[in-house]
Amino acid sequence: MIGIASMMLSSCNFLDVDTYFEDTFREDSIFHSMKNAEGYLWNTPKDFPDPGAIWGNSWNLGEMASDEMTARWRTGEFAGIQFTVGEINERNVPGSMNIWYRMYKVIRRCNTMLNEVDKVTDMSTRDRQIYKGYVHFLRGYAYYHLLMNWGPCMLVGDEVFPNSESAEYYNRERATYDESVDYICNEFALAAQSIPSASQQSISYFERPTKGAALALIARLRLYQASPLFNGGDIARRSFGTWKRKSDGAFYVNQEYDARRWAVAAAAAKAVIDMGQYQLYTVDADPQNPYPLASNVPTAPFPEGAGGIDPLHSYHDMFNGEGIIQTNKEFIWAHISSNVRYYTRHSFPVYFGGWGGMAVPQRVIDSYLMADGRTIHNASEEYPYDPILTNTIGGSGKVLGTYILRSDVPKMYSNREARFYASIGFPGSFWPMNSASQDGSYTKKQLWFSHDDVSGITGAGSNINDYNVSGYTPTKYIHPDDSWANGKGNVKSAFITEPKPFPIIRYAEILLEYVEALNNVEGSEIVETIEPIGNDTITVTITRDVTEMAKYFNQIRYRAGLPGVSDVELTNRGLFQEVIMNERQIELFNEGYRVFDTRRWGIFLEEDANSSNWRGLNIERDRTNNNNNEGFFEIVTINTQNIRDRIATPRMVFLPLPHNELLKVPAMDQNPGWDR
Amino acid sequence: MKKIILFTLLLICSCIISGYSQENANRNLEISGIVLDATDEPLPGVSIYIKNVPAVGTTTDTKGRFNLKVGYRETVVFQMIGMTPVEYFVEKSNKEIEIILEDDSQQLEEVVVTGLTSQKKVSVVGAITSVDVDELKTPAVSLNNMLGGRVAGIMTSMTSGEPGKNISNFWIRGIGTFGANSGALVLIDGLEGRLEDVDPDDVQSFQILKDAAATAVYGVRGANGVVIVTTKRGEAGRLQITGRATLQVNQLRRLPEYLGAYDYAKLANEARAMSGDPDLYTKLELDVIQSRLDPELYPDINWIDEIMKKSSMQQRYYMSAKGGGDLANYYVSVGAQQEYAAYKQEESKFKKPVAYNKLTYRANIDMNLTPKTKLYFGVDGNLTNHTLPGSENTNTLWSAVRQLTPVMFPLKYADGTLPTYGTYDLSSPYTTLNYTGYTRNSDSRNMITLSLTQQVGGFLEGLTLSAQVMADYETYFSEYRRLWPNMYRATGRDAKGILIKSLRITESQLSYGSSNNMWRKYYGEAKANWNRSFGRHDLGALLYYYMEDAQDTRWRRDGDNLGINSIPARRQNVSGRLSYGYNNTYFIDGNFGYTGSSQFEKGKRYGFFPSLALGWVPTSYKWMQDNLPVLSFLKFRGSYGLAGNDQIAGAARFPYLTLIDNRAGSYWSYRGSGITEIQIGADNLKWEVSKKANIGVEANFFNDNLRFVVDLFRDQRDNIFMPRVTLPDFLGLVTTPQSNVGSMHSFGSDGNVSYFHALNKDIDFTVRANYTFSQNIIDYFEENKLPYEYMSVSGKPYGIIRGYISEGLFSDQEEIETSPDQSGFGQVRPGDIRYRDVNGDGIINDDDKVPLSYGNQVPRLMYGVGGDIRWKKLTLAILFKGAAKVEYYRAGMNIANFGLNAPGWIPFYNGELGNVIKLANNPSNRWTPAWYSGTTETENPNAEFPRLSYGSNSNNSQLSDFWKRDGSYIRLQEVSMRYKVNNYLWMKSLGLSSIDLEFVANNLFTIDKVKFFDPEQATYNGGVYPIPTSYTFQIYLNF
Repeated sequence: MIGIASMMLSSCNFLDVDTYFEDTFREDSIFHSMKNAEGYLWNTPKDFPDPGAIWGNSWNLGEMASDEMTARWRTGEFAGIQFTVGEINERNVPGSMNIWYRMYKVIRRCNTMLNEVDKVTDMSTRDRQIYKGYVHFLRGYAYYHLLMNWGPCMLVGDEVFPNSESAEYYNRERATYDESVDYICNEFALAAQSIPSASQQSISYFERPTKGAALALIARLRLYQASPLFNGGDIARRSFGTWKRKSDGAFYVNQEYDARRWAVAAAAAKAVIDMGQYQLYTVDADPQNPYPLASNVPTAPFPEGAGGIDPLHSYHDMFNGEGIIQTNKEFIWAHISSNVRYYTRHSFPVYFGGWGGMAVPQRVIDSYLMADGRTIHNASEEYPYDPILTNTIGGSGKVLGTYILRSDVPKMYSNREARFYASIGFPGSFWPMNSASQDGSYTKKQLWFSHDDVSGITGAGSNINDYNVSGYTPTKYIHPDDSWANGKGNVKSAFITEPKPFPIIRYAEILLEYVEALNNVEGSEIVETIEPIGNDTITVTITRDVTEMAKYFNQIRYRAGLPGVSDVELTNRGLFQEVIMNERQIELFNEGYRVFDTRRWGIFLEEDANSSNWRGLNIERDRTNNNNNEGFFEIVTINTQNIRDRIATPRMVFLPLPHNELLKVPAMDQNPGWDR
Repeated sequence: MKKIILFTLLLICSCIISGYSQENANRNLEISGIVLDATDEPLPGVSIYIKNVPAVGTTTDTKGRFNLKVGYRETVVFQMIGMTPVEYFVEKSNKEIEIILEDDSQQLEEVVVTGLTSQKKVSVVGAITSVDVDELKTPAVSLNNMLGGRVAGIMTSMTSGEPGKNISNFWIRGIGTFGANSGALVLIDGLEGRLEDVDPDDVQSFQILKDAAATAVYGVRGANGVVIVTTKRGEAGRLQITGRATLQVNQLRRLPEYLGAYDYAKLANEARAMSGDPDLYTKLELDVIQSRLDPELYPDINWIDEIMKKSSMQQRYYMSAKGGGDLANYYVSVGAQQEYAAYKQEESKFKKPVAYNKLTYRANIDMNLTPKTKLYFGVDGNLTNHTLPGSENTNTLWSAVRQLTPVMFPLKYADGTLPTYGTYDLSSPYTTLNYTGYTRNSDSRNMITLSLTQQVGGFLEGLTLSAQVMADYETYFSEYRRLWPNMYRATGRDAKGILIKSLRITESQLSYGSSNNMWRKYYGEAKANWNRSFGRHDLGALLYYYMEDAQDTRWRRDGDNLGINSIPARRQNVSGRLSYGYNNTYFIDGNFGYTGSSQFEKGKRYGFFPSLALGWVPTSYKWMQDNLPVLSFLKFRGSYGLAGNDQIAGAARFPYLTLIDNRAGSYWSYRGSGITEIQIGADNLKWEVSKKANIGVEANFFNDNLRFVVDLFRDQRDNIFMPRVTLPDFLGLVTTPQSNVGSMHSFGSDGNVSYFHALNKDIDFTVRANYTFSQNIIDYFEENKLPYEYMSVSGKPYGIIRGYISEGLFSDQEEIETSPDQSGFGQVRPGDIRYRDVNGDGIINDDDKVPLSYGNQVPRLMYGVGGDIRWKKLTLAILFKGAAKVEYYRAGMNIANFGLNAPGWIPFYNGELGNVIKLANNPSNRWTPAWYSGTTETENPNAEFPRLSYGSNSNNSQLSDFWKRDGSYIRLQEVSMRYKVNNYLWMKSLGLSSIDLEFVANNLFTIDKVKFFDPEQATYNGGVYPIPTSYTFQIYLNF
């Protein structure tokens, strides 16, 4: 009996459930085959948000927390707006922005893969290198999101945490901002050493990051790291001057200006350029319908001039669904985004099937250049700027290539550069909306956004918040033919040109980064960077080379049908910085950069809640005198609660860490200014 | 499994099966004579039969005489319960035989089943309560319901009196863990079962094992105590048949009493005035209501009266037969019960009465393969049928009663159509009961077991080997035939006075649905048991092995494509015991259990649970017996040991495994399927361990007529499974894993005392009492850091209830304004409850909730006092059951499967949906402002209710000590009268040996402070079927 019993206990695998599993169902079987390992790898990105979710339910502060967009909405969907009015704190970090846990799920998976992938037997050395390269990219990209939202990261290294240790084991401190940036850049560098570059990768894998994307993200981070908020100076002191790590007293954010960082950033951006695989997107000019260029615009073939291209289409077709995402050589990394598509509806007036609340302030309108590259403050006689809104173009209007300006459009909107017409729906702009079939009331309309217009307050419909508060709506992602009016009147079908892309990184950004970094370099710096073709680290010498800056900056200007930058601007570092900042506002408008730019430049505190930046047309008044409520054509401060309540405080450079996480990790410091 | 079957077969084959040759002898000899007892009184009703031929026999008549034809050299057995049988060997006829039967009580040492083995009572060193089986014979729906107040060490709680739901929960020594499973293990004939499945008359013995010494051999399963039920077996002897019929009348009392329509309407106007709202009913409407002029628009319905009868019937029948001979013994029984609920139901299509029916059966067959080899074959099972209204849940009837006001709608409109009311088009409970069809749950359970026992002789004298296999199947079949009638809402009358009503719910056609589920378990065990005495040394040893494998179709979870939850749950165990006793004075018991569970990962599957117990019986010393003759028995005993638990809350299977979904999505242009974790395996998961300590004293005085037993216990639970909620998110775990981090301890005492006294031969009486006290404290509960210590769960009893501390009622507006801000609950007015700002931050919010009392409906002290008195053949017995140290709340509780308890107590709780209890109608019971009543006297600061409000008043319905009440009670649980009829000639002609007549009354009254509802259900505010008072007539016919 004893014998039988002990035999049963020792030999019998009665308690083993293994026999009920197929091998593929077991955790350790993930790394038994390359197929399974790849399935695990490519499930990992599920925790990354749609990169185009930058308006409603945004995964970072997003457009609605920036100073280039506002709306009357203040619901949880537009948590960015709640942030600007001080309604967000550590206990109500908006769910969409609170990607803390999701990013660490990615990081844990990455650590698991790095620990285990060597066990896969049917994987070649090269495949394994590429696999690890992608894992490093994923890990770096997860930390990148954490850095953008919360600043200094909780770096967990390669550890796949056990889950049964005492609380003390998990009680860790955050890294500093610089430690975090270095760590993330190293991850991207490791990825860049093995993942394919754009030319090596099949376009059917276009959603995957390439070596270029890895290098480009390094360039972006190095520029941020060199910028005033994170590189000593006044703004760094005001936001982070007393914020030190408990254990070693290190400043979480650098308090001593390091000029060399600009050179590092410039070299990083140059590495992407030197890959030679990217170029700005252009659309050839239509000889029948050429877009008129100002006389001072060089007509040499692009990129030496704006010859042979249609500047409006070259810019607009990248965003509105007309261009093909997969073959666009300007897109270093872009995804098809359902959010981009969905939130164009928020720019469409209710009358035309939208929710019409997205509004762009006058400050952005004023930043767009005149057709000859001058600012509105310095307009030429040939291309004058008229601030009087009641003055109209007159005559039979204007035709700019395929773009139509009707005669009753205020002169303020005439003579402007092509990117203005691509990006902004202004009072009197013409909306073809050709996809709305069969009902003329919903096609070929001029929208005014005035009180008496179908696109104004009176057209707001059941939700009183659904109207434009400034008179300007963003149209960058809207194709001229797009219409949301499906089902309106007799409109049986209306289409949105799809797919809509969201450029996560595009070459224009790299050029602007390179120029901005170069502009701030003092003297000559020798820095290390990654060899753009091979994988070695090389040493390069960086100086503020005016020719180099002009070469790359002007590509952006030429593509927009504008003349190059002047020598006066080029030689004056401060002046050229202003030009670059303005150029970023224009070129990268509504792509999610602005909220981070105003912070890193340190202009956020003074400018963000400044009511002089929040002006627009008097949309509470009529355009016509029919109702005795005339007065639309006047620039006034936007009269909404969201603008009146807007605040800008030093702590608002980052989101607060969630209260619940801080409870669990006493050693983890909260971002400055926020309660634990 | 296969191995154990093989092993059993082998054992069978190795045994020599020797048959008995039956010769059909000529029975030509005749014996007759008289049977007497030890006092030379004639004994009627003695069974007399020929050994091994039990079918041939007779019984003595009323004068003790008998006459029987027998064969040459046959043996005649004279047998009677409680007497030592006598055998008479026949070689010739004899007409003057005198047989004397002697009481066997002194000869047989009392034996106690101590888990797997039987032990002499004197040598038991574990804390074991043996329940007198005769006490369990009084009528009750199930054995569970008999334990409270009757058995030391048991806590019970019954929340509903409705048939099918009226089965008590019970815990041995209270609740010891906040983990998954706090219920006791119930073993019926050694196999896991349910107490409610056993007919009390099938029970041979009933034991409660409470400490580690007694439960260690069960390893894993013994942590919460063990109940051991042994059912009756056949005995060699003539066929004995027992029939039982029971008729029970249940009477509902303590039903909630709500206001009639006129009082309700008047009070509704007052309640609205309190918040400055206009009257709900105009003067004209009030007159209409008072004079009952319009029973369609302004009815006056007492919903309780409309759906409840005052009484219901229950009947139960049972029959058993036993007998046997040298070759085999058998015991078979079958029982049936039919229990109707006291719902008032009309004849209508597809309606079936709400009822609970049950059929039970059992057959125990023992075969003597050789004199030392026994084969046991047992089957038992039951079928239950639970019929409910089509809406399935009778809870909705009771929640309707708490919410529907008397004026809401009539039962039916005058034209016979049915009404609805309110935003959600509510139907009435009358409609639910009568017009929605029915649901029927039919469950059945069948268990088959086979065991083989071999006694070993020679130098291994005293060794018994046995092996047993069992298959247990339970099926759950549920079906419904459901429909809805058309329902209308009346909105007024037109100019001609005709009722205007609109169709709100369109009838639904009959729909049918059913579901089928199954649970099954295979179980096998092998046991070696050795007991032998060497002079003054008693030695015992036990080695026990079992394995079990259970599966349940209900474990399957949606989305569990891999069937992880459906993998059989398995356990495997080796345990043993060594016991040594010297001279019936000193005893030592060592136990161990070594149990493995498939819940844990390899290497952590097995837990070792040893225990040690010591006993000392000073009364075995001669000098004690000489010098302290009053003390007939004294025993000290103590035990310490471990027990385990492998159950994890939420019924998660294989928490150690990281589970994979290999059909997950893939991203970034990958075309294959993705793979992801769906459960993160918990590291280092191991057994929940219970460290149990127990000391006890047993003492008997006056020739064992006065007996008492007291036990003190402490149970320390460590490694309780709970989710690691303190793990930071930056670990990136997909799921929150379980871990063995919780701990708690419980302690207490239980005991009983009984006194027996015989005044003379005809009159004797017994008085007995028992108590169980148990308290627990959570030592560690995984929770995030909280701002205030009093918010923590750790350091407090399990199930603590947190709420606000009330500081009376606000007397005026100024007091409201100068007090901490309560506006989070809405507008606060004078007469509302004022709360204490515990943390002093000026705001009343969740941070001000403090522990108010230990909370779940399980009392911490339970006791019973009872006795019986016998006069000749008539016995009168009485039992009081009491519970104390239990509190309940009139409002503010959110109870599982019930919802908020405030509606039904707080008047007008949801405005038009909120019945008003009669108590509130008395102005002195509520706070009424002077501006309304005209006198400040109505601003009663000690009123039972705060100011009235019409509709939800969030401030006043918060959980606070304002609503806290004492739930202690003493219940006259049972009064019974028994009369034994025997020794009548007419009975013999019917073959009857005796008739027992019993009349039992249960739950005649309670002494408590609850007053309105049954104290055991007080917190539900009349929202459950009450525990009825019942009157039972029961008759036993013994053939």
